[in-house]
Amino acid sequence: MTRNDSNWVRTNSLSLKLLIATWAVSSFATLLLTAAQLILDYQKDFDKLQNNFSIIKNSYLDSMAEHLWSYDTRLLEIQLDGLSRLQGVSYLKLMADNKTIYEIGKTDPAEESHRRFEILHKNTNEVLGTLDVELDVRNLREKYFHEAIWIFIRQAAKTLVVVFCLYFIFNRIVVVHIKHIAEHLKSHPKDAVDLRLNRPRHEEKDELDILVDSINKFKIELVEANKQLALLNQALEQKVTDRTRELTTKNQSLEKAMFQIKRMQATLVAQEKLASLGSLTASVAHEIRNPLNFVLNFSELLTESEDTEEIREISRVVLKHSQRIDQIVRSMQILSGYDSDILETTDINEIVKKAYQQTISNRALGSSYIPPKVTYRLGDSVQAQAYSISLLRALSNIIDNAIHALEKKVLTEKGFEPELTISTAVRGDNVEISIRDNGIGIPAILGEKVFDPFLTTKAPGEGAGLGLTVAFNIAQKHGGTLKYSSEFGQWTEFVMSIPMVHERIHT
Amino acid sequence: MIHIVIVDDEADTHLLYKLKFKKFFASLGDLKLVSFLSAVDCLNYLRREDTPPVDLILSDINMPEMDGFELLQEVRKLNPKVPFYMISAYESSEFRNRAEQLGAQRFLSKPVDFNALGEALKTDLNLSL
Repeated sequence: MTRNDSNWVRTNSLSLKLLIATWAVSSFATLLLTAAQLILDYQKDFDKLQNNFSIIKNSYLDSMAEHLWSYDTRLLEIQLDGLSRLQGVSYLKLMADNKTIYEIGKTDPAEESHRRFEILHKNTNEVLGTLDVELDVRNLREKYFHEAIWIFIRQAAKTLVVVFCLYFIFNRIVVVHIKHIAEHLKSHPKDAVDLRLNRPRHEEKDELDILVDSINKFKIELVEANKQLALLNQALEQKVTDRTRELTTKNQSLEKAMFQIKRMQATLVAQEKLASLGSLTASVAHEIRNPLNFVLNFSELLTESEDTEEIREISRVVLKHSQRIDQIVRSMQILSGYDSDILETTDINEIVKKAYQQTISNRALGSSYIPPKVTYRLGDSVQAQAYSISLLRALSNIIDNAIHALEKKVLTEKGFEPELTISTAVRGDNVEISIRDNGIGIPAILGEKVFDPFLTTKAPGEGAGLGLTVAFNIAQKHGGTLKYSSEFGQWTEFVMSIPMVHERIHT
Repeated sequence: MIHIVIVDDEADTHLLYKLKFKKFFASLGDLKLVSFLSAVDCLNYLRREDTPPVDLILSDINMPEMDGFELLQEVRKLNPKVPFYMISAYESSEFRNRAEQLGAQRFLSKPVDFNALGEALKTDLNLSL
């Protein structure tokens, strides 16, 4: 509020607006009324003046004709003097026989009210002379003009005085109080201080009193509402605090529960391990028992047989089943970590190639199988710390499974072209080995069970179901992972990821 | 002539039976031993017109395609009386009961005790050895 607060120059104040409006309206009204009054008055005076002509015509002309006839100049003069004294007659001229007998006043050629009367003989209607009369209309106009100006000045001054009085009165009665209300609302916007106007005592309440009462009432309500709001806010804050505390408590109990679940999980895993150890032992026993029975039964036959051909055949079977047992025991040894492999930096590409060649040559023994089309996608200098014999074994197992899957598809699908893609790559700190075949795929239902021991799809004697178990364990031994993805009937891809630098984790 | 049919998906088992039975039935001399790797092949053989009467069927339980129980059911449709020995790698009362219900004469568990098998054969086939 940078406005000048002086009473006099506040151009935007209500009082000034009132002042100007009142003055303008009253001036305009005065102007109109005065003008009307003056015009009426003027008309009246003008009519009165014109009346002189008819007075002259009716009352003077006859007697004047008589005096002219008798040429009584003295009477004529008296009569004309009387005439000249008539109000508003400014010029008189009596002429007879082209001689000016009498002339008084001034003549104005522009004057419209000039009139010439002919003085006629009463009986003969002979023109005896002429009388020129001029009325003083100009004077009348001037008189009214001056009067009008005076009236206007007077009225203007009077109105101005009245208007100023009004200005101060209005200021005093209304504006001061409105200002007070504004100031009060500005300085006490929210507190409960009552608004009181500095006014003389009066009984009846006027508009200002009603306004003040309303404001006070409104303020009380506002203060009350503010209080309520503050209370609500407080309650809300309290609620937030409570909720936060509740949440914290809940979080804590959740954490506790999580911890318990983790512990239970660990226990379960341990129990599961024990259980799987039990079932593993049973499975191992069963797996070994089968070929062992053959060995036992056939060896028994061997002791009794004398036929060389028969002995050879039996020996072959015994050998075969002994090898099966050996294979199982070896796998078990790898699973239990009792192998004598050493960890050294190894060229993974070499191992991968070797694994494939070994698998193929092992299969070629007695198998009429045609090797698949192999594509190598080997990365540059893919090296990692590895147990090379174990790794070779793991990869051989996976490749063997891949070839088995291809073989099965060759048997069932005409025109099928078996393909095997072996890739290696460095991914971050790890080396990734991928073996992908377009064979029969793995049913999704098997999931991670493919890594369980003794799960096999091969015919009896072809595999004990330990290949992937061993491969999985070897990947773990390297601190790595073995995962697979497959579309049943379409393809399978095993990806082994092992760290380039092995950090032995003691668990 | 004694006609024995063996069904087992492991070829070495066939050899084992062959050698054992050869010794066991040596005195009889006339033994016809026919072995199948699958139950389906066995059924086809049994259904053939020129197949001579069968004296005994020995069958494994766990086989791909068709297992021993299914084979037994089919065999019973063809011949309700022929002696049928069920051989299982698992000694389970469930298997044993089921085999009995379906009409198997005996339930033997692997590894086959050939002495016991010999005694059974003597009784069931009325052999005088």
